[in-house]
Amino acid sequence: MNDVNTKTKRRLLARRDILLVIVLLLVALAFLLPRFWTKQDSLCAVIEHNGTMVDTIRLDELEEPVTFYVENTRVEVMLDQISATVTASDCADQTCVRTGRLTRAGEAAICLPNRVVVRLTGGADSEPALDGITG
Amino acid sequence: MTKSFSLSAAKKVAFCGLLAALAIVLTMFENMLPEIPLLPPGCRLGLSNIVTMFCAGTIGLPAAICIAFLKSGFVFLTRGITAGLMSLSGGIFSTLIMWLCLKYGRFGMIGVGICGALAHNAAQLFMAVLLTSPAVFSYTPFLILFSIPAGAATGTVLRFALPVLNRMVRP
Repeated sequence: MNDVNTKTKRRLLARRDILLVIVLLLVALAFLLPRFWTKQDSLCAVIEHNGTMVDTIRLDELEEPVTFYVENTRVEVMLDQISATVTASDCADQTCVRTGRLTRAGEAAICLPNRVVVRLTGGADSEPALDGITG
Repeated sequence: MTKSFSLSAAKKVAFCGLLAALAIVLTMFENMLPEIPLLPPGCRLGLSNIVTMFCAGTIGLPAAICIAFLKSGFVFLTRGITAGLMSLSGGIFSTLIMWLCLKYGRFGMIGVGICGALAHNAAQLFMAVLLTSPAVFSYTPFLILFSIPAGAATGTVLRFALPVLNRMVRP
């Protein structure tokens, strides 16, 4: 038996562990910060099924909340002017429903058993495309 | 010499069986726990990482990989193919990474636990991307953040369970 655990008398917390935690916190922060800078106007809800886009809905153009049913699944998405919410799904884990309301660009609710992704894009995401068209 | 070797081999098989059962029980227990609000949905502590980490460190990589396989087989049977694939990718990759950390990295138990949790989340993230779309990557920062307390918890639990487990390996 190659006893790695006891041979080296491994400590509970080494100095490297603290370094690792600091690096991880910085990396996570680097991922999170840009989200606060993206503009939250012209949000778009993108609904994907089996890896292909099913529908894209401009949220700010909605006049009243609508319920969207993803085809061939029992996933129900509620859309209003500022948010998207997966309200019902027939999956066992209900992770998508528990994700709750999506209000910021970049957020996503994922139902793995149904292979459905609901995500919000907008703000900075849609601007380059717009410039591409007008320019 | 040969006699004592065969004895320890039989013991090893029996002990690995016990560990596999323990991993399955911990996975079951974890699924019964309610999800913690405020945390990203789908996040789990990864209690079975305690078992694979111990096994990778004390018995060896092949046995630990076998335990990860058996555990995923159980998840596959009880919760379906999607959950099974997620469990398999996370289990195998985290076992491998923890074994490497135990062998070559000068981390403490908490550090090894965090590396295991990170590897578990990373493998599951890529599996989820394969199953759905790259939009899943938006979970990355939350998964990195949650790996820290989850990995620290598994490492700490193993540190205190280690004397008991070691007594079972060689009395």
